[in-house]
Amino acid sequence: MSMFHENMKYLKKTHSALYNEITAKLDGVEDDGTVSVFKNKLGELNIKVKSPESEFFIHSNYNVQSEAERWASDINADCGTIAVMGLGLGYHIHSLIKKVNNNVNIIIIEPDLKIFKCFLENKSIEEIAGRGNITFLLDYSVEGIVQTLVEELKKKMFDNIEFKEYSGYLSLYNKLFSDIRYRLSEAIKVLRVNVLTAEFFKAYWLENFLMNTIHMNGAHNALYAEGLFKGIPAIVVSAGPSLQKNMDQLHALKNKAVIIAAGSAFTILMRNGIKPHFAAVIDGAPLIKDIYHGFDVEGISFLYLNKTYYELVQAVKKNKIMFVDTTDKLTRLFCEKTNQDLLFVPPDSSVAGFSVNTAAYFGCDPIILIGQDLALTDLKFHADGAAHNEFYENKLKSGDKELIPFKDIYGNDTYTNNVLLATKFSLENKVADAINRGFTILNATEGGIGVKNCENLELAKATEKCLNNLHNIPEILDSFYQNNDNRINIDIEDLNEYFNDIYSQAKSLKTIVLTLLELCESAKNILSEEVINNKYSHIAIEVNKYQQDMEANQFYKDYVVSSIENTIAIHKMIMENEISKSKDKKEKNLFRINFINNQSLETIGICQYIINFFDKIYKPQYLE
Amino acid sequence: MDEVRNEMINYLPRLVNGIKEMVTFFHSQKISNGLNMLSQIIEGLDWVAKAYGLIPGNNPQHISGLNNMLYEINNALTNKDYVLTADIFEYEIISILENIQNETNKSASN
Repeated sequence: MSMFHENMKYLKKTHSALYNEITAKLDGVEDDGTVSVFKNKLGELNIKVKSPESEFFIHSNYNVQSEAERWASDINADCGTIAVMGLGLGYHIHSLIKKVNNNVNIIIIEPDLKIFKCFLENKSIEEIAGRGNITFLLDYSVEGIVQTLVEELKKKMFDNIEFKEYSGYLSLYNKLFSDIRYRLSEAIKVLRVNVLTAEFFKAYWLENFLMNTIHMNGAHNALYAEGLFKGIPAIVVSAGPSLQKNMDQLHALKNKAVIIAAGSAFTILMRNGIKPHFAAVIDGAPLIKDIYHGFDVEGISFLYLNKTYYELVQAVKKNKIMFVDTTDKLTRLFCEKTNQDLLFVPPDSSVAGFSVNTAAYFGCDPIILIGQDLALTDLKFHADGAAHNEFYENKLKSGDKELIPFKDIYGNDTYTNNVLLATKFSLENKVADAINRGFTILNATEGGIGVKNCENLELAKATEKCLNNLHNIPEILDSFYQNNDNRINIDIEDLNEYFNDIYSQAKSLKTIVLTLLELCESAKNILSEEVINNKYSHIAIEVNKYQQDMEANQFYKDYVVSSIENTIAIHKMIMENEISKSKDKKEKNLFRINFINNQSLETIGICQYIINFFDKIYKPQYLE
Repeated sequence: MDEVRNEMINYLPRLVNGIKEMVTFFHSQKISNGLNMLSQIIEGLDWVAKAYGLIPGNNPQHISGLNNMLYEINNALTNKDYVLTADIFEYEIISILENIQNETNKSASN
């Protein structure tokens, strides 16, 4: 059997997802002679890559082992994850595997399928993949690679990621690698902001999910709004300081474009007498109510997610269109269990990104951005009139490191911060996606640091270019709302059955976890004694069993993990860190028990919240 | 002639060390550091080739070997293949220089 077939047989048995991916991808790979395997001066296999102008060698033509060891020699063996750019024939990967311990996650990125095929034809993949904690990423798109790296980062939350290009690939893929490094550093900023956001909002998301789901009937399903404004321009209004320059012009544009106020921009527009067609709101925290407080929202439609702050959602009695983001596992589960068909959209850390995505979904074209400074223009966070604003003169004077110097679109000095940069990265992904689908995105923000791939131009010029026609936007909306088929319509029996089910599951899980907490308490007491003997090992078995029961519990997997996975990951990381530093067995056991204790307390918190919710706030019919 | 020979005996070890340092820069991807040393090293090799050519009993294969390797290095640099550039210096050029060194030492002691 050829090496290729042996490798594929091994992958089919042990890594079926990778096997399927390779089979699909290699199908289209032609052997055009540009990539070939040959023997170097020592008789070792090497790969030659030919281009019209030149040829490159992936490994050393003289001594592949020596080169591999030299490459691996300066790798930080203490990092959590190593992303290697380039597989070649794997010599350097073997050197890397010898150097780091088995806990280190190794991601091997191979952008060239022909090279990967050479590897499969000549070297054993089992010798690498069999080590475990190895991921192969066969991709040459920057966004695809960065997305996967970010997913891996999330799993090993605070562990360092080391990024190392294999030298033989630098000539061929230098631009790809430097793009990846740049995008990855941006994505890490977004991830950090998202993790902090998730921690901050975790208490609200469960409450918002439950309350919004109870009151979901009557909202309109975004699924039926696709192409609603096909060909009509949209203006996505954000609350950046430069928005002030556009206020006078916006009055005249009301029926020439669909106006979407993203988050805080709503307050600013309303205070200037401009009623947008849509207010987009995705925040889950109570503070969001301030943006809409005291305003007459008659004639304004709301675009929201099922995890938006529930009091605001309930305050809007009609003309609201609901979306669900793909990270909202609770709503996804609800849809699966009740056969609801809702529109799932890619998650976004910024309401502007959500608004751009929605405008494209509505078919709006072109999409014009205003107020999208992404910078602290004039040392302000928002334009005047925002419900909440921040001013940065004092921080600048004190040299606060939050302020990051940047050049604005006119080449002048300005400042931004990590939150805005995270928003920029996230928005640019949405913009790139819309552009790839054929939409035109213009940035008419008259200040700030710009949006990648968007032409910058003043609003007056954008108006001249593409806002010349009047459109029947209110009539289109009325027609949409009058169609009852567009409404979400959940059978009340289904709703009651669903809530009954999670109520009884929460109670059942609580019983398991209460026992686990008692066992943890007993374990801690035993560990505090001078002499332990066999007492600890007996209780440790019980603790492990109940922890496994808890983690295998479907309600735990569906609802607890969805609500607090970052929190549990943080506790776990702390435990692993402390265990790795400790040399005392008793101490290590105590760290582990503390982790399980914390995990149980968090779980009980979720269970009890749900039980209290259904006991006191919403009592489904036939509740036992 | 003795002067040329003696200069060669003194210079060759320094040239070899310089090449090893440059190779280390290329292998650790400090490309600009490596390239900064390259022109001096090429000049050094040029001097060695000329000086060696003046010594009686020299082996012309070393000179043609050096020239061939410089041609290969030029191709590698055009392709920005710094691994290959470093390898040629490490495994070919140094080897030729060491052979020249041995021969020069031998002829000096005769």
